[in-house]
Amino acid sequence: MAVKKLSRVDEWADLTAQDVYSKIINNENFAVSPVKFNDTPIDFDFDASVQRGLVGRTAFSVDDEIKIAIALHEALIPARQASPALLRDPGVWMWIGLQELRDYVLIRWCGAKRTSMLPVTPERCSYFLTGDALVRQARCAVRRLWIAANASHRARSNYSAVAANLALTDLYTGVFERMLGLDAELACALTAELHKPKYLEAFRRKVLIGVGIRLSTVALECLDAGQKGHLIKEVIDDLTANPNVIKA
Amino acid sequence: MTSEIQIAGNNRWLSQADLGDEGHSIWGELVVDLTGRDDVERVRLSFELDVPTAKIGSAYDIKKSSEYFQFGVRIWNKSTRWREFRRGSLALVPKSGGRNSRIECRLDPFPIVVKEFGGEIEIEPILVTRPAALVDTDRNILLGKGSLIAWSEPVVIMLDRVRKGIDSLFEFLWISFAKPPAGLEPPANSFFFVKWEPRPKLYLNTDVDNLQRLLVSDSKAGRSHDGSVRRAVNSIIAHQILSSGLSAALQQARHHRVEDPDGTGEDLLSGLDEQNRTILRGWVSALGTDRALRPEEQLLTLLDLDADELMARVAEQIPNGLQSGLGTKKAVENLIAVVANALETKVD
Repeated sequence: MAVKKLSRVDEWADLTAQDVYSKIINNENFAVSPVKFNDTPIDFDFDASVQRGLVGRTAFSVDDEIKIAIALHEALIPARQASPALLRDPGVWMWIGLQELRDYVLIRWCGAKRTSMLPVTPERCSYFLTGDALVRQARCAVRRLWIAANASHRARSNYSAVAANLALTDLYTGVFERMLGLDAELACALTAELHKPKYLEAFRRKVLIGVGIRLSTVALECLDAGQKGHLIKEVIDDLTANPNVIKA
Repeated sequence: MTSEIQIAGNNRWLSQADLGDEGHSIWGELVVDLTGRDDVERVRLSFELDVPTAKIGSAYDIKKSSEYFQFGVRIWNKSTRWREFRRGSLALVPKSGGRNSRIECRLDPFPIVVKEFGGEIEIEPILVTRPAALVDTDRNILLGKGSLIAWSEPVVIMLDRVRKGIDSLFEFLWISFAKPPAGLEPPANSFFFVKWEPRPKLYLNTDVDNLQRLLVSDSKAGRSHDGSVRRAVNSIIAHQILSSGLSAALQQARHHRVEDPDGTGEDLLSGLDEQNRTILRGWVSALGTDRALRPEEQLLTLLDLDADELMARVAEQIPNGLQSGLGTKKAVENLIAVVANALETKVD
């Protein structure tokens, strides 16, 4: 069977969440075209077994998201190899969300019921959109998954950190919507530690604030993996000894 | 900083001088604008900077600079979620011939493959501590590895933005205010006005004699007639749009701070609209903040103020801060000199 090719929604720049909502409600088509690099279409080989697992689902667990994230990251390797800049195209992410992972986005993020498959409000359709700002990258339903898998792949050359990266929504937001989330080693070290059940949300928040404070005077780029781990440990130890040193 | 570009299919590195007039649209003082230049395959940059030791000499044993510090650039590309450090070298140059000692920092040419990035690549030269622990004897604090000692304005490689500097904030449109296009109502007795939404547009009045000729003239001569008048007029426009622009940008920053009180200054800036980020990064110090701090840290200190204090600060600081930042005094002096000269010539 021929491998599917990566595409993009051409009209993404003109579409607001309200527009996407209207088009879905009215069952209208989106203008789509193949993504090409040096005039060559790019493969998008999404694991068929994962795709089949999405059919008929009425809810999605973190385990499901981990599988989708890994399959998505693998499917986008050819695009990344051609040019990492291709993956900043909001049209690509919109196509993936609307076409390839539509059920997941509609049910998990847009509040749709399996029976209707319609988003509950126009605002919820913002999960199909993305942009260059870190918050807008991480709040796109499908790009969010790719970011979690990509951080793991960069930090560890495997997908062993994806589970921790996606385990807790507040932790994901606190790490990957911030500049510290651009450093895959630090991001994965933070989620690996802070997703443990012994830490409560308020404490996780304080740790992230503490790390942010440290990084306002330290160039993260100059630290190796061990030093990053040490920095996290120091902040956790400080906060354990003096819980009120940071107010969250 | 020096930079060169390499065109696809051609191994030769090209500098601004090699490209002549074409080079002016690419290179600015701290900007390499490759917008629309899909033929550029790589950019090669090198850095040479001096760090005066006067400010750090009391905190560290400067003779041990090579042991204590390391120089390099950090590279950030938010579009592709990338940050890395490129290490350079440094050497202490002792005081001699009436010149104070300094740390000479350099980074030999390194290439950046353009297709691996998107949007803007920020490259910030920094001097950081090298040992696992170093005591700042001036402030009596222990610094860990990588602590920032000195930094310089980042160089920005723009891959897909059209304009730079204050031009990047606005789309400039020339219209007749007497006969404006449908839907536009220019204010009476004005020579420009700004519409902020959705993308800021600066409308300039073609009915004002010579305004267009002056503002689009490329005369750079210090006291030339056109150059002086253009700078003075630009200064008036800049004062007014930056005043309202800074207020609007602060308002958005304040809103974001309320939404995410835990974020760092960098997080805050990166979440703002492009024009607001550009305004604040370039002009936050006009609000009387501590210029020794990085712009994002300056912004955080402002946002620690309550709403009334912040408004008072804006009202008090903007006029002076902008005059200083925009070189208004110099612009006015040049204009007066040109006018005086013209009058003298007329009398003669």
